[in-house]
Amino acid sequence: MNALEIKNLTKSFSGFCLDNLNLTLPSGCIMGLIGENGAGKSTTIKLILDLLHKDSGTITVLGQDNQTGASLIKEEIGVVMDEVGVPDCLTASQVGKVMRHTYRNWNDEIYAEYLEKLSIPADKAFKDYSRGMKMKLGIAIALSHEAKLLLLDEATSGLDPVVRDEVVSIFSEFTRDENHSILISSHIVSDLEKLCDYIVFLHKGKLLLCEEKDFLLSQYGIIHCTRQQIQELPPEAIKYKKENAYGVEAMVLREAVPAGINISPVTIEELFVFMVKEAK
Amino acid sequence: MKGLLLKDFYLIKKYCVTIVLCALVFIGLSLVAENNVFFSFYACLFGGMIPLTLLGYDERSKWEIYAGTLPYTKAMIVSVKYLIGLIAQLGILLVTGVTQALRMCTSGTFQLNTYMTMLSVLTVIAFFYSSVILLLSFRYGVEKGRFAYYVMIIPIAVANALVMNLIDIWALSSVLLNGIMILAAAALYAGSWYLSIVFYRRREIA
Repeated sequence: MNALEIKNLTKSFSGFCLDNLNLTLPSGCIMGLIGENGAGKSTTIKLILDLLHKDSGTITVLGQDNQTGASLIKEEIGVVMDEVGVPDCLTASQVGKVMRHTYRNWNDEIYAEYLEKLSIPADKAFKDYSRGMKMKLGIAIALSHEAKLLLLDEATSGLDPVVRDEVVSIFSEFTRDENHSILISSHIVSDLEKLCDYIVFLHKGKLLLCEEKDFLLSQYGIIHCTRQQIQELPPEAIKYKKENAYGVEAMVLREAVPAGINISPVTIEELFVFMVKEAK
Repeated sequence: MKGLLLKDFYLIKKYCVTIVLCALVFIGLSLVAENNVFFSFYACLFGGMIPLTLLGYDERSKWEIYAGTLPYTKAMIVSVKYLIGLIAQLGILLVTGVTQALRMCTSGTFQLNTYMTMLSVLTVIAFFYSSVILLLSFRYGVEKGRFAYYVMIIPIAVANALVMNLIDIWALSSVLLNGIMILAAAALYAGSWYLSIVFYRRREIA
């Protein structure tokens, strides 16, 4: 079963349109949404949660339409938004009590374990937490009610590198169960590169790419050469090129490049930057 | 819905104690002042402030968005605030009713008809006021609800003065009129509750 299926999803605001988005997240996988500010990442997540109303298209979450039986679906989803949304005066232990009466499968022991593991003080008011601490509390809540799907909108932003690494490990651990899946958006592409099985590039509301990460990394590469050398390459091999005083840097399709030319591996971040520039 | 109520209980404990105290002060003043309905009326205004204050804190902390990700329906999210408003107003009316009865009995001025009319008028004021500000808050957002709160104080105070000074409501009162007033207040609150759910379902939370 797919954890998430989005077909022909469209949503328009004044000055922005999420245009005919199609995504499929298989169970047991992690999908990373990458895009600049205003690309449509948060809009996509809010549409999945039915916080925003779609103009057209279908969204299926864990096999069910996201609008019919939305509150039942939400029992099986853990969400961390870029602003966690816990009231300022509540302590982590009070939040635990609220969630105990909110989720059917809420597990106090797992919650207490996460509080300890992530060094979250149980009796300090939420307003006194650092941004990183707030995000960690959001993550602890999302992981304490036997969710099958995590929707994470910039959930690793604001965390220091050590904690980020710890959190990324927790997410990897979560998807060891083949029924667990994650859709995560982040500006920190390196986190997504570490974590994700699938990569989605969004640019100004349009889907640039949705592909398996390993496939992408094996398909594309970077070459550094002279202007003369680049002209000798078959045009279909060159996806994007950037010229400077020292020569040309180009993103290429590995299989279309003749043998003997040195191709460097591409990172997801480079791939994204090249594709966005190409789209412009 | 228990989770939502518990969360609001924590917020009331933290942020609404002053409002409750102010309501009690006005109820106290209504026992000693000549125009007791006038002061009781202000106590009811404080009752209406409780759900409005909670909505304000929800908006500030982005709870509204977070609640939308939790397994609650939009009807539940709206209903919690109406339930709290109902409890607050009924609580104030109950305390007012008991204290006014005691005042009337101890001063030897207790008349059932007058007493019931006073409670009916207060019920109408309390629920009319809460109905309008909650409906506006769910329809247009808390800022506009708060604006309505302050704007409405003036006409309601004027209407209150007019009713008390120009019309001899005590002479007009009857069991039937009191019953109609209480039923109208209940219908208004129920209608506002229902419409808020309809509006909130249509509203996008972003």
